[in-house]
Amino acid sequence: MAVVFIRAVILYLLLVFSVRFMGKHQIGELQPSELAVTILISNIATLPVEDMSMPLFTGVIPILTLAGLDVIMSWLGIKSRRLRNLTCGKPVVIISNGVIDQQKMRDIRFTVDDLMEALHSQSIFDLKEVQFAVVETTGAVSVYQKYEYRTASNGDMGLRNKSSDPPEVVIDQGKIVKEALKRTGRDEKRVNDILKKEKLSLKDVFLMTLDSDGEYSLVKSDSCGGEKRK
Amino acid sequence: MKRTAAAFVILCIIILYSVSAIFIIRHENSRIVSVLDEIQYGLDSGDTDSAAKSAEKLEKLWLGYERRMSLFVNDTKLAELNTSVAKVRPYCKEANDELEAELQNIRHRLELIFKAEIPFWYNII
Repeated sequence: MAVVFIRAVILYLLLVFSVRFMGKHQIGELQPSELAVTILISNIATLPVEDMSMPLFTGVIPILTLAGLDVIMSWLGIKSRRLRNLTCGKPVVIISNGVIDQQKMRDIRFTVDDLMEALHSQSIFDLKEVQFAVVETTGAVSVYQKYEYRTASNGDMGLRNKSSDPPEVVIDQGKIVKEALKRTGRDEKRVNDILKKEKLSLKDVFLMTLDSDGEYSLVKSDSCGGEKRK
Repeated sequence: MKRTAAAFVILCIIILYSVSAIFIIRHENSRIVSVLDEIQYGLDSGDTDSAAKSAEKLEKLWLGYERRMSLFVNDTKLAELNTSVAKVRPYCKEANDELEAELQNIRHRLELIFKAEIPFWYNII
C-alpha cells in the first residue's frame, strides 16, 4: 500500500508539472490536439498506479514525451502557419455582413442548432443582430454584433478619462507581493505609509489592493477584527 | 523559448535513457548467460560440484539483476524467470534431466526481454 501511495504522489506531481509545462489554457480554449493530449496523459498516469507490476517509468516516459512533444508542436506552430493550420485548423467565418455562409457550415458540420446555441450563450436571440460570426479552432463561436445592437461604450457617449491598469493585490495574507507592487509603480514605503495610517501591521492585513493612482482597498485578517474597506 | 528548450532536453534525456536501457539489459543478460554457460559446462563435463557452485552464484546474481531490471521490465516477465532460476540449484543437486531445459528456458526469456527493448517494427506495432 505504501508503494501505491508513493507512486500516486509521484504521478500527481508529474501530472501537475506536465500540465504547467504545457502552458496555461482553460479547458474550453484547448485546441483539439491539446485536449486529446491532456486526456491521454491523465489516462496514462493511472496505469502504473493501478498495475503494480508495471515499472513506474512506463508511465513517466510517455507522459513526459507527450508533454514535450506538445510544447515543441506549439513552438513549431508559431514558426509555421501551414503546420498550425494542419494541427489546429483555421477559424471559419460562418456569418459575414449579416449573411450566413451555409456551405461553410456544411463543410464544418455546424448545424443550425449549434449556431443558435452559440448565439444564445452570448445573449443574442435574434439573427439580425449579428454582423459577423466565426467558429474558432477550439470550436467556440465569436460573434460581432451590428453597430446598433452593440452595448454603448464610454467612448460612444463622449466620455473621456485617463485609462489606467486595474488595482493589483499588493498584500496577500500578510506578505507583500513585490511583482504586483512594482507594476503599480509604487514601492514598499507607500505600503508602509498606508499601514501606518490605518494603524495596522503587515500580518494584520488579509488582502490589500493598490492601483497606480495610489488608491487602495484593504481587508483586515479575521484575527484582527475582520473586513475593512477604504 | 525556455519551455521549448526544456522540452527538447526532456525528449533527448528520454531517448538517451531508452538507448542506455538496451545496453544495460544486454550487459546484465550477458552476466547471467555467462553463469548459465558455467553451469552447462559443469554438467557437460560431469562436474556437478562446479555446476552447483555456479548455480549458487546464479542465485546471488539474480537478486541484483531482478532489482535493476524492474526499472525497465514488467514484473510478470521477471516472475517467470524467477521461477526458472529458483529451480536451477535443486536440479543441479539432484542431477535432474530437466536442468538443461530450464537453462535453455532462462536463456530464451532473457533474449526475449532484450529484444522487447529494441524498437523493431513488430514491437512498435
